[in-house]
Amino acid sequence: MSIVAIDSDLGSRGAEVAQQAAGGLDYRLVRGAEIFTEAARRYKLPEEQIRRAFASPPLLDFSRSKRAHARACYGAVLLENLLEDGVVYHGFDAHRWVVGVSHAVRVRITAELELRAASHGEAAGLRLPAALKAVKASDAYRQNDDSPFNTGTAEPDLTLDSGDLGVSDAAARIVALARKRCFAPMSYSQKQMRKIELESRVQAELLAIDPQARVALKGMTATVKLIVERQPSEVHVKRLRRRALAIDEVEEVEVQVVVDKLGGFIGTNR
Amino acid sequence: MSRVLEVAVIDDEPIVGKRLQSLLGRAAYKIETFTDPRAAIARIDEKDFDIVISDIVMGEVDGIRVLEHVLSRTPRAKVIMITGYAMMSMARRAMDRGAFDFIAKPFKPDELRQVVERAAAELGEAVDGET
Repeated sequence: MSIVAIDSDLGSRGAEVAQQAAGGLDYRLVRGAEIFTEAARRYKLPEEQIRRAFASPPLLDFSRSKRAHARACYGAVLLENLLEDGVVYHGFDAHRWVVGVSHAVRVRITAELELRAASHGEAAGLRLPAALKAVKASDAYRQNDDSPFNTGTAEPDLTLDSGDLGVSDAAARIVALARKRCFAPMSYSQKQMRKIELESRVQAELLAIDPQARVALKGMTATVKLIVERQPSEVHVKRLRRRALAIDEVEEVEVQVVVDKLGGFIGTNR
Repeated sequence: MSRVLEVAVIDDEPIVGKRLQSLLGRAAYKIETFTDPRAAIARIDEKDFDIVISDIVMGEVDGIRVLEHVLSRTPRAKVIMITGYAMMSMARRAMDRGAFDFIAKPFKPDELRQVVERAAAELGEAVDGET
């Protein structure tokens, strides 16, 4: 069974399509709202803080580092949910988290602007002008480099116009695609998925200590890269290493420090 | 008692065939190794293999061609693709053509062993214990 990751433009009825697709495939449906709740519980953060990390546009009083940490916590919980195949996920970052996973079908749902505004207005109890403004703001944010919705050049496997097709037909097309053999899980893709999940879990833990920490995994070795203005203390580096090693699957940790000052001095701590 | 499964291992690097021969060497499998995919294809034309483990990038003959050839002759065969150049598009292509599984190098011995045992189970042949 595959993973179906659905990203939808505001007002394009992506949630309905996701629900019908999950039903058609007999897959578990995972929504962003559930992930917020679980991430807040697991990482002991206010749920509102995690929601705000995905606010469109970003709220001025919410620092970048807090936003990055909150998103990492969301990602860690989401990816754990996606480890089991047979899931339809509709929510934030749908495509970004599963890039490179061959058994993840990435779907984008869109529709014409006016249709989406009408749909969003109805759902949110907004008059058309306000709904149109909200949809345009959401579209603009999606193009922003900082946006979690900006998947760069990664093209989805399927783009559907729910206004043209209707919800049922859109869902049926997703079902047909997800059943294709090329989206069947295989040892390679499941290993890739486990790597991404573990990486995100380590990232979420370390961002709580250091907002500069960036984690990459090779096998069971976690490389933690810090780009900083001043060399961090030994105590801090040890703390990062300890926190990463506390995660069962991590066997070895390498901390690489890049001091971005005086032309760039690179130090490596093992 | 389960019958002995006929297994072909195709990889242009000789060390791979030797390692897999050693890894899978047990009474349940009869293994033939090939470093030349053309020779492997000629042998596949002579004999039905139950399981074929094939590299993908092997010079002029790619493993996808081997996969298609095996399945055209023996549709029930389980073909496991292995490669050091794993990419999503390649993986999907292999699965689309009927591969049983796709494994990226380097892999742990247990990883491949488990896949082979799964393939054997799908063929309806339980694999007996070590010899």
